Amino acid sequence: MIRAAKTLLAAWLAVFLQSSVVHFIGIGGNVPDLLAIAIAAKSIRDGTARGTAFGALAGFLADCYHPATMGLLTMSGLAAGWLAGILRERVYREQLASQVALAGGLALVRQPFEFLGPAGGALGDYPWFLLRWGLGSALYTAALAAILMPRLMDWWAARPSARLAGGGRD
Amino acid sequence: MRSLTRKVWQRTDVAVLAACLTAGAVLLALPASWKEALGRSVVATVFAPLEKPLAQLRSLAASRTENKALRQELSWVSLENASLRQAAAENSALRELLVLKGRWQWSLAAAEVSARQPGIFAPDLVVDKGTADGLRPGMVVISTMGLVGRLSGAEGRASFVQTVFHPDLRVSAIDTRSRVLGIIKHQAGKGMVMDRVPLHSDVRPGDTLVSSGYGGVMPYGLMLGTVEAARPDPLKLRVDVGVRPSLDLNRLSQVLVITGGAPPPLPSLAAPDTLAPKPRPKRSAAAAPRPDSLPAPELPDSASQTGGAAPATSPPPPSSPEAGP
Repeated sequence: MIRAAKTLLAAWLAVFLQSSVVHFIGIGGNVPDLLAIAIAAKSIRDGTARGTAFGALAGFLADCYHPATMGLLTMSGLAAGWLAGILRERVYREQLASQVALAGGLALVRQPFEFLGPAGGALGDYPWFLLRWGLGSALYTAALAAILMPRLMDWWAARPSARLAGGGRD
Repeated sequence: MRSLTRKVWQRTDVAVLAACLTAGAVLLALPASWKEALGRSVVATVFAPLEKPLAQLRSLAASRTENKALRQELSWVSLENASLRQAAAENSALRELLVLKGRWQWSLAAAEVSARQPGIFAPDLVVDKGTADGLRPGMVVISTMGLVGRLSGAEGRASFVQTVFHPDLRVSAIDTRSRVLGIIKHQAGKGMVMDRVPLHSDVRPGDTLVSSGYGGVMPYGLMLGTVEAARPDPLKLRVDVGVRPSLDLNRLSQVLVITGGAPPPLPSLAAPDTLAPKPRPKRSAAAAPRPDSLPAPELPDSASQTGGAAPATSPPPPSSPEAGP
């Protein structure tokens, strides 16, 4: 129950911060993708199925800000979660470098959806967008993931009920 | 086929992926109005309650920076405003001087009051023009408020003005209504008075007094002030006339010095209103106590020393009543 609440809270917080705070910390127009970080953390922590569901949920919440293209970010989220879940089995998931690279890669995966959907970009312009903003945003996401992901995964792993019961101490 | 389906659904992740894909496809296929309604309701319910306080916090943080910048700008604007006000006042005064300059055919030199003599009773001024600008001692100084005085000294780049408030400066004055002549002087502690006004002269409070030009120093027509009070003196020898001067030294910033040119013609002494019946002062009025604002009566010997009082219809005195130190 607590894990489900945490999952919902993490999805909500990622979308909320992405929509309201992240553009204040942009560098040269490049902003980090908090959803990619959260999806990567969830997939590495809990596996493909939960990562996919989490990605779809976060994508749906992000879709609500862009009702005209609703469903597109849901697809991008579940694709990112699914991909992260598959890669989880092939990378050393406890290594920070792997986590960071995965978060940056997920940001690159999600970008075409956002560019073609809510941003209303044309497919032919995507390479230019990728060079101008996409790669920078992915790098920024990876840098921020190095700080956020370990904390996020620890928060997910924590068991407040055990701490409250005094477990582990004698 | 059935076994393959069972194998697929036995894998949770594939099932979740299929469910999510279905949900995504359903969302994509929804009518636009439904999408709009769903998106708005979710945002309004889930995100909006916290977005507003966050926006207020951001606004507060931004307003602090903005407040600091605005305060700085306000200080600059205040300084600029004070400077502009000063320039506007100077502009207004110079415009008035220009009007005054065009009234008579005088050669005038504009000067700015650069200093006042220090002290409580300091009626004299210093202006920023001197002999290098053609100013000479004795020249008459005027302003938009009327006669200021005359130059008592001139240096290269500065001149000293003896104003009408100087106790040694006396000006021959004339009442513009009744043509009554007198000598205006300033007595320290008593204010400005019009001396040598004969008894029964038609001088009333509110009458305008200008320079008569008979002294030969001050030209005719320069505003001196208005009659504040006129009462016979206790000895019934003359009229005590208190004058409210038109010149306010505190508001004086620019002056004009008459350096030459033709003075206006002297006024005719045959004024028609001098023949008009004038009200005689009553005894009760004469016996009434003097207000404190009225200047003290002059002694008769002071009038005799300067040639006596000039009657309203008499010709101007031969000797100049405008005397300096």
